[in-house]
Amino acid sequence: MQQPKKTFEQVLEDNKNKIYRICRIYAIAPVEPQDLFQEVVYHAWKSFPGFKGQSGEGTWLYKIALNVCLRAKMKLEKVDSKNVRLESIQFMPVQSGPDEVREERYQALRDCIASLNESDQSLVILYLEELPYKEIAQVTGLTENHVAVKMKRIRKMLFDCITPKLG
Amino acid sequence: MLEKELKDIWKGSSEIERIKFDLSRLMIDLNARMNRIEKVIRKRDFREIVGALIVLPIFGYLAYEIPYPITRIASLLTVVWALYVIYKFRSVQKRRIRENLSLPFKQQLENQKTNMLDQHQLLNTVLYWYVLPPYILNLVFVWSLGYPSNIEWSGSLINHLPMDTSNKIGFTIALAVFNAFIVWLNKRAVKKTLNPLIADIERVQQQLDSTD
Repeated sequence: MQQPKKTFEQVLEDNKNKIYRICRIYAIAPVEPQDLFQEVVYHAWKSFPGFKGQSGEGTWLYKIALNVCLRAKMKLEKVDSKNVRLESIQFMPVQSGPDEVREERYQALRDCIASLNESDQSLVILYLEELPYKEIAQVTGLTENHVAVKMKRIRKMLFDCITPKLG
Repeated sequence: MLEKELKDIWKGSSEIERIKFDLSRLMIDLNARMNRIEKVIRKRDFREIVGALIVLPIFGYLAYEIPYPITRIASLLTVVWALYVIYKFRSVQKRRIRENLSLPFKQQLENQKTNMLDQHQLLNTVLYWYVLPPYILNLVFVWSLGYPSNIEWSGSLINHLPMDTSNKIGFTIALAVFNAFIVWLNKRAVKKTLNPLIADIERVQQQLDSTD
């Protein structure tokens, strides 16, 4: 039996961390991850009436997040923080504060991802999100075989870059 | 082992901030933002055709008021050109592929490129559809003023139009300089803005298609 379609708010709540992780990677000053996050939320909300659920909400949201972030990075779309600010979305730093070692390791991973080309970056993000190749193919528009071939090479590049950094 | 470690680092990267939604206000905020953006788009679309809209009544009136036949024809043809420009802008606006960001990455890039190439074509050919036709018509308009000389005209407009040869030469040069500036502006926009964006899109498309 088909499950009833979730509301937009439920989809957003369930996927907010995924979106934020992608936005953190693509945000380049002066654009903040929060600006990109709000941009993704806005575009997801606009697309939601047309979302029929065939591809799964995760796949659907990954497509929107990657398209929005890449457009911002390539400056195809100007992200103006004053214009995108939605007061109803609040970002609060976690009370314990960021763990320094963890943050350093994240920065190392971020640097390695940044050293890849744009196309490989998007693939590696989806790989780190633990999407199966079939879903990565749906998000990117490549064939599953093509994704597999590319991922083999990208994983090697990523591992070669990160291994010395993580010690 | 490394793979799992990397995925853990990645998953933990969203734990630096807690994201909270005020659900009672979210829909109001999103609707307000959409209305704001649509207003900006409507204004931009209107701005594109406003020049041509201004030309219509002015040259319509000139065609009615000025008795010289060739000047009249030039005025009427300028009205036709302005209508064509409005039609052209409207059709480009309609042809623009509406953004659908829930499409796969590859298809979205293709759509972006199609829109950019459309803009490229529009700006790059501005000389032939936006600059030369009205320039030629304006020259015909100006140089035919006062001919044939047996037509008597003493309308109030006569003081505002270049009726003698030196004024006509001045007008011709000023208009040529202005039009050259418009062509230069558009070529510059193509070179500085559109070409790099198209090249960027093509670069990412090649990266996606390659298996290296």
